Amino acid sequence: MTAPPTDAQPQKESMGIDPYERNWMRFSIVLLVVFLTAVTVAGFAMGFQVPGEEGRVDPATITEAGPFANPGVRQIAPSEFEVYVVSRTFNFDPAEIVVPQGATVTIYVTSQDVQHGFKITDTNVNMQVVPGQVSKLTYTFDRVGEFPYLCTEYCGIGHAAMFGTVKVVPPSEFEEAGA
Amino acid sequence: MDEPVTETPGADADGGEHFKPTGTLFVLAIFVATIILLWGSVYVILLSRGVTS
Repeated sequence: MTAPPTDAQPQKESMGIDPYERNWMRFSIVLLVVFLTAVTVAGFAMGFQVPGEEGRVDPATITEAGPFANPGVRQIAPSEFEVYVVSRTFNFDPAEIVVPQGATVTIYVTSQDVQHGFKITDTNVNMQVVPGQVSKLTYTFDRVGEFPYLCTEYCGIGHAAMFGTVKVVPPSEFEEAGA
Repeated sequence: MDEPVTETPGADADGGEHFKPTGTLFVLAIFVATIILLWGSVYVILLSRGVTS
């Protein structure tokens, strides 16, 4: 005759989880915690931010008035710049952005027609460009070189040809060019 | 007449088969290593490219 089960033991066994399955569940939870920690550290401790909605504009009138009527690079401090970019099928205006090495550049981008993307290769700058909405990101270009920017949202038959270039030049060269 | 009950090696108290799934563990180990390597490399690339704000 067997003894009646205690209160604790039957509950534990009633879960019916295999030890391997239990360990896999533990590992999955640990993995999620690691992912969450990594993203939290990057976002809140190191300051990585995703692009935010800066404001709204009327796509029909952006070329008539406001900063997007004259897109391009503006120097607002010795090593700080603003860039206003208009996306349209199938080009970016401006198609070339020249900034000195070490410049902190705030990029404002909007669309005149359909949804586009704006990604600068080899950087973390990557934004959705929605008509009527201004997307904004700030990035410091520490390396000299050319960084193509591309449309990352299929926008029509000329999508593959929609690109521009950020040229990061040495400060001396930037001063000489009088850019 | 009841037949004699024989103990199966590796059987647990409920009579269920309990074995070590070596192949599955091997595949899972490869999966975990791949996840760690790919995700880790992407994270390092993210950090190396600099902060966007």
